[in-house]
Amino acid sequence: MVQLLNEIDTYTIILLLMLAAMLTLLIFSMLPRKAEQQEKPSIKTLIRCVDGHEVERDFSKGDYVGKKVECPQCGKEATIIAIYSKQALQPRKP
Amino acid sequence: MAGEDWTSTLLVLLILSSFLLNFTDIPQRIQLWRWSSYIRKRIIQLFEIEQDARRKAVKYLSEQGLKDPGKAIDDFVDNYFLISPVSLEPTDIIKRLRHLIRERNKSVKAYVKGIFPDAPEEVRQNAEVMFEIVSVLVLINKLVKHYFQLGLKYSNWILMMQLALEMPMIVRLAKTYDNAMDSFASGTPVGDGAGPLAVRYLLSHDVPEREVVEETLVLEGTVEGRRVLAIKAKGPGSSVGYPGEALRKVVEEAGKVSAIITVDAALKLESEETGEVAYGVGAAIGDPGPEKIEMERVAAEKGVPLYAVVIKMSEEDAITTMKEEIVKGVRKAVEVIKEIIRKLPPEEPVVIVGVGNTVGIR
Repeated sequence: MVQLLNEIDTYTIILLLMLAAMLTLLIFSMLPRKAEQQEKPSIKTLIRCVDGHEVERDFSKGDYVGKKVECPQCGKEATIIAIYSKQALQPRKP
Repeated sequence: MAGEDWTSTLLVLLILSSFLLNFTDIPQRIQLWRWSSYIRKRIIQLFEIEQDARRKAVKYLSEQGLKDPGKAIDDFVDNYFLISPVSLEPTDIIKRLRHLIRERNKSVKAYVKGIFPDAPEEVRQNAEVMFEIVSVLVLINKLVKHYFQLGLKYSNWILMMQLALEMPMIVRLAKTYDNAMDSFASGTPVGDGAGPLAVRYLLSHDVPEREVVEETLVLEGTVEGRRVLAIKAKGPGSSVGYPGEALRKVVEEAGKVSAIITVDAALKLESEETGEVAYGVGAAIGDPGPEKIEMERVAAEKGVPLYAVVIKMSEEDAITTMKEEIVKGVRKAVEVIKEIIRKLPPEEPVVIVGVGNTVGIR
């Protein structure tokens, strides 16, 4: 082993290192990239009561801005004033 | 001695490969193979997106009681295209374009009414958008396949490389359209609805309103002590209405107005934040031309200032469920509009045009 190492000169070592570097780069470039962290939005409905307070609840089918509904807090007449998505980070899979 | 042999062999290999790489077409062939393999994978992805959008449309149409939704989609896709008017002779081009757009809209509405004769207006309007989205996805797929097959046919590695570099953006656009299907199926407001929402925030839902032109409402109320005439599309179904035509009618009926304020969603630059608000002068509307030119003409003819207030968002934000940041942006835009109104003479009415798709907003 020592004899073989003695026989290999500097140029051979440099060439071998270069080849190793090129192979490593090639392998890394071919590896699939990690998928971006997905964000799952939740859709919320914002309701304004005749009393003036605002309540946020989950969106339910049939909701639209301007729809007259019952206030989920006090039961009085209320109007849907906004429907929007809220971004929530999905927990990473272990 | 063994080391010298190694060195010589490697050097010969390097010189040979350098010759092959520099003086033959082999690198281009390898590139063509690499890019084509990359594009092929993305085409499969695009096909899956198209199928997913179709499934969503079929589900929505089935829920509305349609017996053969697949056939209804197939009969719509590829049809109802619009050929742009001749631009070599620009006389009357806006008139011709307006006519063609209206006729196309009428044909689409007649088609949807034919398959849903008894459905509520908002269901038909949302179904129209779903048909349009599936059509767009089919068109994107066809175009990508067209350039891919052209590149392969003529071994055009530059075309292949250009297409491969565009693919991430194309796939993202297709995914956005697919996500938009969920918003229209559930009837939630989309980012583009920022303009109509601003109108609703300026005037309450209880002010008097009337349909001034097809699918377009005018609301009347008071803001900052000034009489306000606000125009928006008729909701809560998916519609953008005809804000230009409505503006002309409202201004002519009012006689004299102090200002016209347009409010709309605007595409943000990558460095800008969603929900940022900016204001300036001009008609804030992104239509193909007829509605925008009508707004500019009315303002110019009457000598009325034309202001624009925009809420910034990405293309993805504009066609998917409205983000919380956009709602905050709308509230800011309303404050900007009030600030403009406060500076106007109180004796003349102000016209506000909330431009955009009013899905999910009455």
